[in-house]
Amino acid sequence: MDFKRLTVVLGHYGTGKTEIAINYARYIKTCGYDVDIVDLDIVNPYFRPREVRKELLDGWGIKVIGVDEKYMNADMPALSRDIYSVIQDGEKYAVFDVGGDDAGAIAFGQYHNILADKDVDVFFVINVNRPFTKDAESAIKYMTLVENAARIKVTHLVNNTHLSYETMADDVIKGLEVTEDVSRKTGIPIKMTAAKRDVAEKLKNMGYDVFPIDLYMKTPWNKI
Amino acid sequence: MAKVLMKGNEALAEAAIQAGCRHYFGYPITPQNEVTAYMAKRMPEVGGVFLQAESEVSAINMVYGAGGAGARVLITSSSPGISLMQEGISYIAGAEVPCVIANIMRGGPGLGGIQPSQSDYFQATKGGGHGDYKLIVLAPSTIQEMAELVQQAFHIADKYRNPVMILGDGMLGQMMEPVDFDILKKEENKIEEKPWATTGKGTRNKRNIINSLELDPQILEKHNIEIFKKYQKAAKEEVRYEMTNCEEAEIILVAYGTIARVAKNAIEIAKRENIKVGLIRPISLWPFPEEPFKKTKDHVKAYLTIEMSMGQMIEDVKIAVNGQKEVYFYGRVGGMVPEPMAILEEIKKIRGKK
Repeated sequence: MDFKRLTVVLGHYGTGKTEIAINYARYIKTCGYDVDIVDLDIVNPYFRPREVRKELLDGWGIKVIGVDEKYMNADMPALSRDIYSVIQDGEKYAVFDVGGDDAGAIAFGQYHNILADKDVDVFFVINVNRPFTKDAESAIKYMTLVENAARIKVTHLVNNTHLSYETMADDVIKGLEVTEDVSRKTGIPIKMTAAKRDVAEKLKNMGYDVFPIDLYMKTPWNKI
Repeated sequence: MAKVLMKGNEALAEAAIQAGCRHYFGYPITPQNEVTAYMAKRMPEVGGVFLQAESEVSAINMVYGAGGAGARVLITSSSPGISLMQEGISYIAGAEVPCVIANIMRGGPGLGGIQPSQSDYFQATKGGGHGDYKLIVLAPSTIQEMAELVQQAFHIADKYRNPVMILGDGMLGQMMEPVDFDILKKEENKIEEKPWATTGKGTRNKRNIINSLELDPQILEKHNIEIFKKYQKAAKEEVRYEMTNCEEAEIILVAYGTIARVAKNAIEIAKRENIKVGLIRPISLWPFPEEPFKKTKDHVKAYLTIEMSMGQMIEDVKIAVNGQKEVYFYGRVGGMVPEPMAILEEIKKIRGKK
């Protein structure tokens, strides 16, 4: 898969934006580029990239740009000043993990001016097992809300339909049908269909790149 | 509708709506904000009321009013916000008004932090406000169970005309799991007549009054005794618990909510080392289940209570065990979560004791 210097990951809560962002950054890294993850999530108090920053840095050499570690659990919507340097640096690759919904995407909107002339892919992640984005109509409605808040247009759709640990291949296939419908109705191309690694291995001839995901956001009883 | 993926907080809100709750009052606080956000979106869709009050004190008194008028009403908050509501909760219990209150706990004391905790057990089960009253307290462990217990909570609240509390930690509110609303019991969602509610005098001979003030000591004493008769009934009928691998267990863990899931991990690891460990998971924290301790205290060596607190539920465990076996404690606080290997270490320490 080809990729641009900057990738922005948007979507509804629970679509798996964070897992997509982390795994996509790993993919860019594997292709030989220096890449950061920008943690722009100001709405979720737990399960954010900043919680695995050490694991990503030590294991993959991927830096998580977010608020300073000592303010990690501050209940304040703070963003790192380093985000500007990532956008302006012509060499560095970056994946932006934007917080869920329009509420989370607002924080990203402030960068729209300096992003206007940059090389950017904007993903909208779809999980049809989420009640508010269960069909093409509701997904498009959500996408418009999020686009307006983020002040940027979506360039690609990503199907990441899942049920957490209970995901089956059928979930992904069902999700892809809806994503294709969204693509037909909006003219936005599908970038890939993602699934956790064990499910991805079972998916054949999907017509799109199948992107395997290793999960990072785990509950304490899923860590062993 | 098949399974959907939801945050605990969203499932809490949706379950309430499906249980016929059309009144929600709240004030935002992490880590339960998704309930407020969900209700702001969903209530207008179902013709309900969503109102963000100017404070928790105000919100709980709105609940008092709506519940008094017979509505199924929900309020949610997290630890410091629940503390602010205690006066109103005592009034609601005193006036015998049904409502459902959810506390998605974070670390304390004081402002504490936003990470998960279970340190409001005392506040929930021992009467956080003034006066002699009880809350019926239910503690889900999965998102599916969250949806089930929220619906049961509305039913129980109406049945006893008393507030019911859902007690979950921040993790339960924030994590996502599949949930199936179709399999929930629908009869609990039927709302029975409430002839006591302040819905206007109508054809009644007397006005209904919702009040917790009583200046005559004899009548106030009688009122207290009447309320406690309800609690005796609830203590018989509302006990809920789960037992896992207890029959041959040498040591039994006692844990509620998400920590019971960590405890189950520890049990699996212990099994690999041929250590027989069981789990008692109280689902109703008040009434506290004493039955599973009666069933197990003859054959077990000791109990180990695991909490995200400095040791609160352990007091109820000790009452239930009544000095007949040792009760040990392992806890983490401040947003730290007990880990399976650490629990296993505690189990080994207890086994080594005479």
